[in-house]
Amino acid sequence: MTDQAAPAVATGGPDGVPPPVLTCRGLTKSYGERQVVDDVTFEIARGETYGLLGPNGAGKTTTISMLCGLLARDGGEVVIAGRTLDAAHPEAKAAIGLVPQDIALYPDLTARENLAFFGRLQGMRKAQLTQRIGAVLEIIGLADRADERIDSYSGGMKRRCNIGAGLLHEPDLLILDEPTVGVDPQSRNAILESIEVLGGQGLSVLYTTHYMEEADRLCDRVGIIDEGRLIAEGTRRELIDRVGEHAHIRLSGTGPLDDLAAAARAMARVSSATTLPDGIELLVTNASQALVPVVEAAERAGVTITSVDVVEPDLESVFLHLTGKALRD
Amino acid sequence: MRTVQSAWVIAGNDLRRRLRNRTAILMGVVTPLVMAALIGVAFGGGFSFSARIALVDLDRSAISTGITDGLVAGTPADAPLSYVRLADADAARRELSAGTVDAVLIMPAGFGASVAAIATGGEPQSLEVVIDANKRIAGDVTSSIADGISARIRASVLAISTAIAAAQPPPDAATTARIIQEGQQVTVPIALEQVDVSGRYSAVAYFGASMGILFLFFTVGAGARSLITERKEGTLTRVRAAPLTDASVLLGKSIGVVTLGLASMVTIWLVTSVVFRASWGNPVAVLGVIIATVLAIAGIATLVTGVAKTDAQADGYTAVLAFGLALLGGSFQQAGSLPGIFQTLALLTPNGWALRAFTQIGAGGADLRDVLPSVLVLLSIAVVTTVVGMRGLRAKVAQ
Repeated sequence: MTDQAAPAVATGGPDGVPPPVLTCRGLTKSYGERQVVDDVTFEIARGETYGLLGPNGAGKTTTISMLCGLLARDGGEVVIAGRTLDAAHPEAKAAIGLVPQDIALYPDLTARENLAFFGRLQGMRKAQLTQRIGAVLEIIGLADRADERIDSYSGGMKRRCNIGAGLLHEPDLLILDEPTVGVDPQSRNAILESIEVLGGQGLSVLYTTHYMEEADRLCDRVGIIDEGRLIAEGTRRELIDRVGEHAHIRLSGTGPLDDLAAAARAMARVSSATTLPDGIELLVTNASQALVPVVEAAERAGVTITSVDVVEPDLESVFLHLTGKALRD
Repeated sequence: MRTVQSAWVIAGNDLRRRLRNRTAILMGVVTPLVMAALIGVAFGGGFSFSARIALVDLDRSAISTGITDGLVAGTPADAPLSYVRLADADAARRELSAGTVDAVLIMPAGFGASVAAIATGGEPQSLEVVIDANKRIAGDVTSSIADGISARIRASVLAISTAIAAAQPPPDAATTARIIQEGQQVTVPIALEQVDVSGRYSAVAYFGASMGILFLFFTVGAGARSLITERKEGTLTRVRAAPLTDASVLLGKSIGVVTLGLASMVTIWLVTSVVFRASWGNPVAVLGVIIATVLAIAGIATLVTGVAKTDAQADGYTAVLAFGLALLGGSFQQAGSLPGIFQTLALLTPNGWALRAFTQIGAGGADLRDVLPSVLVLLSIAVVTTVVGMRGLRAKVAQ
């Protein structure tokens, strides 16, 4: 039985500009009454690292699942490397290398066996597969332990192999779904470094995270997603410019923090106030003028302040500015 | 990528992982063999199966007399089958109701003449087999004997027809009658083949099959449940992210499951045959029943996996089903020796149908055509459970 070829769309853009490696338009998904992805539209250019930033439950994984053909979409269109993705034409998926959030490897097989299996599923021939397995094992630094079972690996080695399986078939677009969740700082840094290297080599990357600093470090452009909607998109500078003159104050302390946040919200210069486990986070229009009444309010509320940090606007500030809540909420 | 190619890649990976896991070999081959050997030894290497078959010769022709004489005289005293001649069909039915005989084989009046007339274009009369629904094995064996008689008669008729056709010049009526009479003599040894059933009915063969079927629920079930496990562990996500359809994934899993089940049953068959010298009977028929049985149990495993919400729940359902159906289906005690109601209940289970077929093949010398009803029931179970189970599995895969 032969699968029919997926319908191809435009393969070259106007003015010699290469077409985007990924285009998704109007993606929607609901479960019953609950809309989990609502009209999400964005593009990723060739060689670009695009970050999808949002808190847990914002719809990042659902969006990725639809982009990879793992989940049927209620509406919208996905075009990957010039091919439209739909259930009847899975060939478009060959252009994607997915690195799931969890370690998606067979623990009872060796790294080489895992890579060989996933490579064969991609339709790779023996000679090409052997060559690519060797190359990927070198990239992820596991060449000398390739014939050991995955369940004998450390957590960091498993993470590297998990990424390697996504790179094996030389995809046009590497999609990483929160690859650093639950990872120790050392391994996390190694993962981020390897993604920087891959991005530097011209690979297009879609990176989802709820860590602002990761998006800040890795991504050429960032889409901010919340409650299923893409609420802002642009380069880091473009997004921060949206915050305007706003400053970001982190006030650490103990006591009735909710009361203090409520009092702060009523102040003219405070755009938003969010309670954190060890303090409150404020977005204000003028830090020096806003700080005094906040400190006075803390005193009245009985909050003991232990530190005050005024930070330059960052993606966290942008998220706070746009949604009125912290990324960690 | 081609759907079937992807499916084979998935099946190959599943098989490699399952065979690497010693538990699968332990559950699929070693345990059933050990249990079959132990139970087989407990039964003294063979069943105390016996049947008393009433022969009613209403024809009293040379052919019918030759058949009854052959059956009675050709049966050794220690054979599991014995024959008794009865004068009429009503008496035989009364004896059957009273339980003094286990089945009745009736040769109707005119049977011999109808057989003699076949060579000249006549229609043969049918042999009649009367069975007790509670004594299915005896009934099956008697039916097999009747089939054997028919087969031998057909062979004789063919020989007679050939002799007449080959005679030059064409024979006159007297010569034809002589050829037919000579041909009728050939039919006398019919019974000798039928009475030679004692040595082939091995308890190890029966319990090899029954334990193999019981443990198929676990080996095949584990294969089917690997879909739930892979979904939980995340590998299913990566598999589905490859350029293939969900149908490829399900097909690949199914190929893996069925191959493993077949390997398990065939290994048990071969080992019991070679090591314990237990004859399962006609190899083509045995293989046909093994395939149908594995498909039926794979279907049930698919249904269980499709219905269960977690792999722990699927394990629970499998254990209950495996032992429940094994008890009802005669896996722990030969179904033919159970009370009537249990013999009927056994036929509500795939185990019962499979063991019935294996017993017919091993004890009655049946071939694939004889056990076709059992095979068709098993295949029906396979189709219904697979269709229903696949709906649940498709939803699980796409979640």
